Amino acid sequence: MKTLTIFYDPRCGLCTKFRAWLEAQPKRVGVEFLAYDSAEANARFPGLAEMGADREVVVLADDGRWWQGGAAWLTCLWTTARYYEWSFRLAAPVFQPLVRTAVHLLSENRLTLSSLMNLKTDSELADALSAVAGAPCEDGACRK
Amino acid sequence: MNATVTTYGLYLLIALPLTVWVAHNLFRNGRIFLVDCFHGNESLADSVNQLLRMGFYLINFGFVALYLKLADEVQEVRGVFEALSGKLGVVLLVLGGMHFFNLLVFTKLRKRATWQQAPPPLPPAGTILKEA
Repeated sequence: MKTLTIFYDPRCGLCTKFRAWLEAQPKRVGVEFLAYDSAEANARFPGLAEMGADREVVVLADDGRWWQGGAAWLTCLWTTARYYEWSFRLAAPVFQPLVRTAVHLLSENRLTLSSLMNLKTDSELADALSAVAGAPCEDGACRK
Repeated sequence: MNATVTTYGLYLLIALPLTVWVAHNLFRNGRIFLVDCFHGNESLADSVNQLLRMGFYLINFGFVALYLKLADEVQEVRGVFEALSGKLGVVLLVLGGMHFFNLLVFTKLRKRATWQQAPPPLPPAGTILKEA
């Protein structure tokens, strides 16, 4: 696997936070984030819309394998250079109920958690950034 | 030279070679585990093996030495046997415990080493058939 595509919910602050965290991590394979309800996501993964990808996250490898829910979270962890060993430890059968429950609770309550922790969605962040008026550069290199 | 000193002498004469034997066995048979853990790097495996053997000797000789002393004077030949079996029994159990602990550590190290190259831990829910 060279790239893992993660179909996330851009309207959820928790998802945006997770995306920022994962993209900043040193990784062993590349990751790509696509909104689960976008046209491109549906083109890459036909039938994604019917899978309840907003309730249980779906990830897709570039060789066609895909995972959903707790297994998808562990696969995301597997891509990182610092925490991949944890993905193997947590994959042990004894931890499966715990992983599934934790992932389920997080997914179910992600919007509530986002507002509780005051996390911003992609579009809110974009609006906030463009609202800040910056001083033009002296050599005119920056464009508004 | 009384029964107690005889006991001490016999204790050391048996416990020390036993320790050397266990260490040597672990050294010889544990090497392949280490080579596997370090992905074939034999010189690194040999270095770690030597260091582990040194540590094993330090801990076990230390324990044998500390455990030597008997509280009461040993009486007669029967007493020698009883004191020896008691002391050696514990030494053997400690050596056995160290041995199994080493095996456990080697197995865990090997498992971690295979994780480095392994694919994602859980099998995929499915596969999208790629169009040619």
